[in-house]
Amino acid sequence: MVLGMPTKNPDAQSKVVAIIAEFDSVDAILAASEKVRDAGYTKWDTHTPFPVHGIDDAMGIKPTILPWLVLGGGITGCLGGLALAWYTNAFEYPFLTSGKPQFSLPANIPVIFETTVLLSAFGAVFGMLGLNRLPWHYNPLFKKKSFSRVTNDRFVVVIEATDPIFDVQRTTDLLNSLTPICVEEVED
Amino acid sequence: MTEQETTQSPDAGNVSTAGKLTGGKLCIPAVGAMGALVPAIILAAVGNYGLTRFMFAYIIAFAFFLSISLGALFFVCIQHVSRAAWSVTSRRVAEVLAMTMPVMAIAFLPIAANVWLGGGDVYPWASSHAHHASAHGEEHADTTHAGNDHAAAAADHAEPATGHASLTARDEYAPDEKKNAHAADATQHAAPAQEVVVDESHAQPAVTLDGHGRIAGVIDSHTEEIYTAKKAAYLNVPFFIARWVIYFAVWIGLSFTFWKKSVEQDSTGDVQITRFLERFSPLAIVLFAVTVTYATFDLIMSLSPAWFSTIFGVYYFAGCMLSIFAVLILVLSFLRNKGMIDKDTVSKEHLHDHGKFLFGFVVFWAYIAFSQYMLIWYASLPETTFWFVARGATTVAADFNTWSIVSIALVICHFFIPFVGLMSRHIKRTNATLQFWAVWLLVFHWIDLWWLIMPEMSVNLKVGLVEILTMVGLGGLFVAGAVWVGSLNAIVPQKDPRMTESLAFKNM
Repeated sequence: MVLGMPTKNPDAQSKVVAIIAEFDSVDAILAASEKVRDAGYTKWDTHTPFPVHGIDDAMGIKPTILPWLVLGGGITGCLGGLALAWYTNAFEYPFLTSGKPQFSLPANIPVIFETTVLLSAFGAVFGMLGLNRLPWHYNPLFKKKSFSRVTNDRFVVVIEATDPIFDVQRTTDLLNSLTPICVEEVED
Repeated sequence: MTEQETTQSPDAGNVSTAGKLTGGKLCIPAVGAMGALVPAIILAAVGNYGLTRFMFAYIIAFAFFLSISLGALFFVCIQHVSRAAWSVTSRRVAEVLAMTMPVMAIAFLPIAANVWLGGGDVYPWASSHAHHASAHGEEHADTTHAGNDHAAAAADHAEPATGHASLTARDEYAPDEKKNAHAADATQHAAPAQEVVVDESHAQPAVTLDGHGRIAGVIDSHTEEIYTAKKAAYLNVPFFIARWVIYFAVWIGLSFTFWKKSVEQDSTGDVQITRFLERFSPLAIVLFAVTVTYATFDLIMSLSPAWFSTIFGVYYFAGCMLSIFAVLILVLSFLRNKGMIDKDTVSKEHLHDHGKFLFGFVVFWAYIAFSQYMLIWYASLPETTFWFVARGATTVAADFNTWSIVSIALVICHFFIPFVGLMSRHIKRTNATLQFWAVWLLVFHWIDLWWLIMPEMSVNLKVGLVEILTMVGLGGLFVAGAVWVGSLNAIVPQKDPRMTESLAFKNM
């Protein structure tokens, strides 16, 4: 492929990976989201310039499991910190410090506290990245003009081709019925 | 504040936020409840400890209700300094609770009287003997080399302390009625000046050593006297009274300013009021921090005048914040159930946020409580450990006493159980469970104060009708004050510029 001269082969047309619909108001995106949700789509998302109240309900998003990951991290950190304190102070290298018992809970609590907080935070940060499948180095959406104003004043709905009930024609028709500004196909 | 917000103010009045506390008649039973103080006094008077018992119960109850007033004041300060919108609909309740401060000032009078009449039965430094000793203590400090504090001397002498010394300390400490022992001891030492003046060997704290050679740390009453004497410039009756006048002047002034200005906005809707309170609240927070720290030293810490802990004010502050969020949850739920506040004005979303703060301050309390304990435990200096030994909060089995069970109960029931219990979002968003934990934490907040205060009277657990009736009596006064102030105006701010934003508040 020569730069500036993309080869265009109609037969080997790149596959449609998603369909994007652009809206210009909060009300429109909320209404559109409800329709898409009710149509039974599951692999889809909305992109807005700011957090929109009620978008979770409109999209039918289930509560995240992130708190459980944080709890898991916290418990691991708590027990790990305790084990670390025991192993280093009381087992592997017992050393008398200011007349305190080798394994003494009050002295170990700061360590346990810190490891609990650390692993909870890891659970939150890496759990969030994992659940969002981040980071992505490439996303075909960025090639689309409709998507460029999503950080400014536009609201978009993106339905992915991996959705079980995705069909280029029917999905496009559905999105067109929601009175968007425009509907585009996203190629890989 | 943005310009957009300022233009919102006229609309806010149109929303159905016209909450009104119509409980004027609640004042009468509340005032009637104050009658419970009478049987409390009689019951105490015929008991072993006499009126001293009542005074200790009274200080616990006073500290409990004062913590709610102070927590409310700080809550209001924080909402203004952070320009919070979510809390606007619940802010008036806090303003009203903070306005119980004048009532608390009246409630302080019996404590002032006790100190003024100089019995020293409650605050040892207030006794006439303490005055006597302190005068010499001052001399002593002046005549000997400055900066040589007894703490250092004590530490040096701790080393050679023998089993003999430990026996003395224990015997002195063992009697059930510590105060009586103290008084008896005081008469022995109420001797000529020479005896108090510099005899370093007398200054050494008698130290108990446990089986492992660790210092259990109980100071004898003679050492306690010398430590107390060094503090006489601060811990004396006139200065104590003067400080409390200042505390209440500051607290009443701040509470009144926040409440008055907020009420004024109900009718005028003037955005300048919000701006003024935002500028005013940082100053209020500084004044609050200083006064609360010293008030805690005076009210609770000076019950054991030889003891010192710089974090003690923060410890009480943690209790203040815990109790105000618990009380806000209960009061707001009550007002919603009675239809005095619309269920959408203070919604599940707002209560959820109060619940988050309640959870947060459970952790904060534990953090502060442990910080205080760990440093004293780790350093193991007799002049600070004796306070925890008196509460049986020790890792030395020989020092366990009846208070030990309360010390352990606080760790478990004031931290671990509510920490796990309040963690879930669903529990904070369900009214019944949130209220359950609010009540639970208020009960343990009281037990916490009881644990701070009562061991100074008795080394054995003391709780009974006297404490309960005193709580009912002082609670009556507090509720009557709050209901009266609350029924003067709308119980929800009417034209706050952030009202619309507050009503729309949702947890994401």
